Amino acid sequence: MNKKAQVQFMEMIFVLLILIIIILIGLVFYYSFLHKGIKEKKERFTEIDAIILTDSVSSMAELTHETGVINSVKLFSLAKKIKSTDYKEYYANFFGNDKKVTLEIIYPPVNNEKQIETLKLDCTSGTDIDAKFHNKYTNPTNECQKFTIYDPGIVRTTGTEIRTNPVSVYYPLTNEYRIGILKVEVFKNE
Amino acid sequence: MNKKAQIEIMGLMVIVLILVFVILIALKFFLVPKTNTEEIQRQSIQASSMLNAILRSNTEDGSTVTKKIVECYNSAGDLERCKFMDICPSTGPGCQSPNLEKDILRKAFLKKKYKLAFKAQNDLILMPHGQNCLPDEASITGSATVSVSPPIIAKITVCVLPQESI
Repeated sequence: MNKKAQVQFMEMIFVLLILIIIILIGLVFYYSFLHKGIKEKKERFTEIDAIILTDSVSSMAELTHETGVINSVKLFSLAKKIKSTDYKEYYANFFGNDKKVTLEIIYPPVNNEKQIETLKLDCTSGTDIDAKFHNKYTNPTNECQKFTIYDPGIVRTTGTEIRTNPVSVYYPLTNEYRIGILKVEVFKNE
Repeated sequence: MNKKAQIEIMGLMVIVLILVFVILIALKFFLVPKTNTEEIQRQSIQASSMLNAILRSNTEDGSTVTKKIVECYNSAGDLERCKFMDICPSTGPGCQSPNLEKDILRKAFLKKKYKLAFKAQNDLILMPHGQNCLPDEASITGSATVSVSPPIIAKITVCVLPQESI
């Protein structure tokens, strides 16, 4: 092979090498964008899911007094219903196993209102729901600051996404309305 | 200049043009802020829900927010009757009861900026609470009417940054 041919051969190899590098870089970018896109879509669907659930809860026949208004007494009956074996599966399908739904009363304040999350009295969690209704809810000694509507019992996850929506809460025993914040926590497992 | 050199310069120019085109498209994607329509819609629903909840709500003394607004309007801005929104003018140890503006709206809209105003016949009943949106922020307004005479219009404006993540 003469010298000119050797140089041209080397040149071709360099061109091919650069081309392969460019294609590889392109592939890396393509897959990173694809991965990012899938992750964003997953987050978006989770978000949409949480929004739909927030709307569904504030219009559930089991909870509402009228459209967009939650009846506080019905919160106790739903909590008992969710814990019974007959309805457990139905509500697990409705709420999803990765979402916790709570309602917090913010105005007017309840008796003995607490600012620290762990000290707020949750009247629909645990097993003594009837006792809490008779001793803590009935006015004028209403102390229920929080109501757990659904808890899948998830303890450890990689992250939590929280969506909130203000709702009106009706107290039929005194014919009063309060402002509550409906909170949907979506537990992420990656 | 010979013909071969001219062709090579033309080729180089085509490559430069393609590169500039690609860079411009990339810049468009990276620099232009995305308008988050989902967040805007969500905030709009939140603003309406918040207004309905406020207007329906009772106050600490057993009255209702609506009654308090009407009383404030009828008293022609009497400070005593109009201060129900500012039960606690400053936060501190002496400030035990929640403030409709400071605590409730802040809890509902988290770190977002908002503004709440009540109007009757185009007159502001109370000084608007909160802040105005900046020019680069989308302002979402929810409004509700209280059926009294004259009708009172309540309005909440929430500010959303264009690139705010959902």
